[in-house]
Amino acid sequence: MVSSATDKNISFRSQLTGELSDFLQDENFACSETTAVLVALVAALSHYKEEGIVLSPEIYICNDITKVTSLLQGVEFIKIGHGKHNAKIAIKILKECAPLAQNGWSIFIEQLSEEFVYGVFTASNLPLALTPDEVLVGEDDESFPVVIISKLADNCVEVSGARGNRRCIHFSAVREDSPSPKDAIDKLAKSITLHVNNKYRSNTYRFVYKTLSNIFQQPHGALVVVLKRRCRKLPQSISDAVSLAKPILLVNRVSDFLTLKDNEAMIKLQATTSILAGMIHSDGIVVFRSDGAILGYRAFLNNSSHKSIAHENSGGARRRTYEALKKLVDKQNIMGVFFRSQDGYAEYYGRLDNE
Amino acid sequence: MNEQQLVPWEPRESAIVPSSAMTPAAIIEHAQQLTKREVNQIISNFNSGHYEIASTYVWSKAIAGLCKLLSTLGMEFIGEMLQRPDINADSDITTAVTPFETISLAEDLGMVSSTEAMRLRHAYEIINHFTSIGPQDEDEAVMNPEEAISCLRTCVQNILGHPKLAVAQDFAEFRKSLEEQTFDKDDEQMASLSMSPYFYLKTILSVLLALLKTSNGAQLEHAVRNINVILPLLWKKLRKPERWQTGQTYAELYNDGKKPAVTGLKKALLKVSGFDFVPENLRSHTFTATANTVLKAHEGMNNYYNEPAPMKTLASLGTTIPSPAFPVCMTATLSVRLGNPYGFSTAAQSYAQQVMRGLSEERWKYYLDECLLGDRRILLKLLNDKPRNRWTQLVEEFELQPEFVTNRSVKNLLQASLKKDNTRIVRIAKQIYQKLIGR
Repeated sequence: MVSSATDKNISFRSQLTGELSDFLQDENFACSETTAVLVALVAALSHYKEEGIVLSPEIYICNDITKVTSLLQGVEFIKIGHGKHNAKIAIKILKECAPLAQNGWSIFIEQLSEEFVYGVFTASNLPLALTPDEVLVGEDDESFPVVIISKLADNCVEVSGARGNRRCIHFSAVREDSPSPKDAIDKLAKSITLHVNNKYRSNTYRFVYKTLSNIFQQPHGALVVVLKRRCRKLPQSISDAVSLAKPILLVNRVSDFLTLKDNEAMIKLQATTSILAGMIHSDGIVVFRSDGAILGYRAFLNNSSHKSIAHENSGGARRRTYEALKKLVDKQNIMGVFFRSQDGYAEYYGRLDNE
Repeated sequence: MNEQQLVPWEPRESAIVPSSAMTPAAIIEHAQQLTKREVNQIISNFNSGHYEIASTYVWSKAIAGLCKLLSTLGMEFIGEMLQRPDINADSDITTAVTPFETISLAEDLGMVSSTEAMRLRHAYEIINHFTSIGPQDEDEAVMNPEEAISCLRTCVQNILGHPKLAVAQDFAEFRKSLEEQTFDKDDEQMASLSMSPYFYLKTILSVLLALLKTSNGAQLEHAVRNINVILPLLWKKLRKPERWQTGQTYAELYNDGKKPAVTGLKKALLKVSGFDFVPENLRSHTFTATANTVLKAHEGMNNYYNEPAPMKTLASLGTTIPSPAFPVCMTATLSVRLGNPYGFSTAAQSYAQQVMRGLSEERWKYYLDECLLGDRRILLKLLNDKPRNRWTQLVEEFELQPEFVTNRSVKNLLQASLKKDNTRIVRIAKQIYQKLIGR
């Protein structure tokens, strides 16, 4: 009797190539060599490491780097190398450029008729300034073709284009309709600035969103609690914390920067970014208030709150604490909670309205 | 004015003070904005021969009234009209804007005619001169009654005689329409726009750029759509300073993180290939702010003593002046060099010379061809004897040859300046000025 067993290798490659080829066509960037390079970059970026360190550079593919950077402010670009139209160049580009593409620097790949030219570039790093992808991506037919590749989380890469097309590619078993980790950061920033004075709300939101997005580029988990405005003390359930004697009022720093527009105000605002990064990278929960204030960090959930759900959930300590905190939303002045795992997946649970 | 040109708004013309009113009492009875007590005090000062005190009081009331009205238009709009990035929503108009700028805005927005604006400037110069005089010059210079009565008449006629001041109705309506409706390039108003005098195009651009900076929601959507309709219609007619103004706005919006406005302006700039006029950074802000400090000192009291310090700072910033700031830096430097009808600041001259000596031939050409035509301050200086004489010296010293420029009016002005033909210089400067303000 002949065995009916089959031996089959399954690869994601053909589906990815098809999707990205369609994407490039929608972006008026159709070219078989670019598709091959794009596929190689997306696959490599999903888990890219150098010397054991995770690197998540943003990559811009375009036809004319000078034209593209003319749309940006405070630009500087350094050409690193060039190579023939071939998918193998993707790894060479990442090897040579990824370690440099940090702290505001990104990789560019310029597709010329004969070859690819690549290097790194940076644009204005002012606290509220737009980021290159915000300027280059949109429903804009007059713009030059640009494709941006960015890693959102481990095994999750986003590809977007100047005409506003986006593809979020999950190299895992998550559902296709899973929200992007960016959505959770957006909700957290909205909740932190919900009760900021109208005049400065959009700018404070922008500062918080941009700062948190930068901080979360690093592979580090985080837990954040947002308390209701006028709340002066930490809730009993998370009272084991480093509580700031004087809350850091983000809105004051943003309004000073907008009004004074001087170096001192800018340095003060940038310093806030560093201190916030330090708090988020510490163990425990960072505590904000919905009027744009930081109240404390290294906060831990007390035992009684924790125990009640400990047995109901699987997952690590951070996930269990998050589940426990979710049950406290709308109680003890807690308005919302945010969780980010080390691999980059993020969730926000709580209120985003004024009630 | 060209017959085909259309004027979107006109200045108010009304005779508040009859020409038969010759005495202070006869003039001041028309000052509806003054209280009875103020009127009595002013007349009493006139009768006692305290002309400086009476005129200064009347002037300060008048300029405060004008400032109050202008501030209702929004300080961001005022900043955009004056191309002053240092003015924001929280700025105080009385300290941020000089009287010269206040009068120019009133003229631009149709609150006073150009003749009355000239009279207001003259009144300000007289008052500024006499209030700057120290005890050592007291005997040789005192204000005479004719000068005081002339100041009083001008202030009452244009400001204090009106129960309520207002900007030209047509301007107010047009400004409102830019934020409340979306125009189409085939609309009648848009077709007529391209035939309007340059000054109107410049004002409409300033209104739209100010809206992009300050508005939200539906207002911003209209402003974004309108800039995409209007900028392509205007672009070819716009001179380089206004093109840089547009690029500078893009840079400011970008650095302030205002994404919807940046996206809208980006589209409009791409349509006109205007990204050559977007500065790479906001370094020009430092130059603009310093140049405005020089102008504030120049147009303020004790200008001869107050000009050297800011002029020194401007000179120390270096000769590589960023393009968006170049017109205002030149205005400030030339203002110091040409002085005012009463003289100039000797101590500030070496710094002004330092800036001018650092200018390349191309930069002089750029100023003469593109900026002088819109430089109201310098054009008005050429109407006065002393600044005009210093201008002819400057043209000679820096060898500003007529063949050096392409604009016909400026060419003629340089020819007349080299020949020291004062009558012709005044005539040409007046022609350029009238063309500038569209009258």
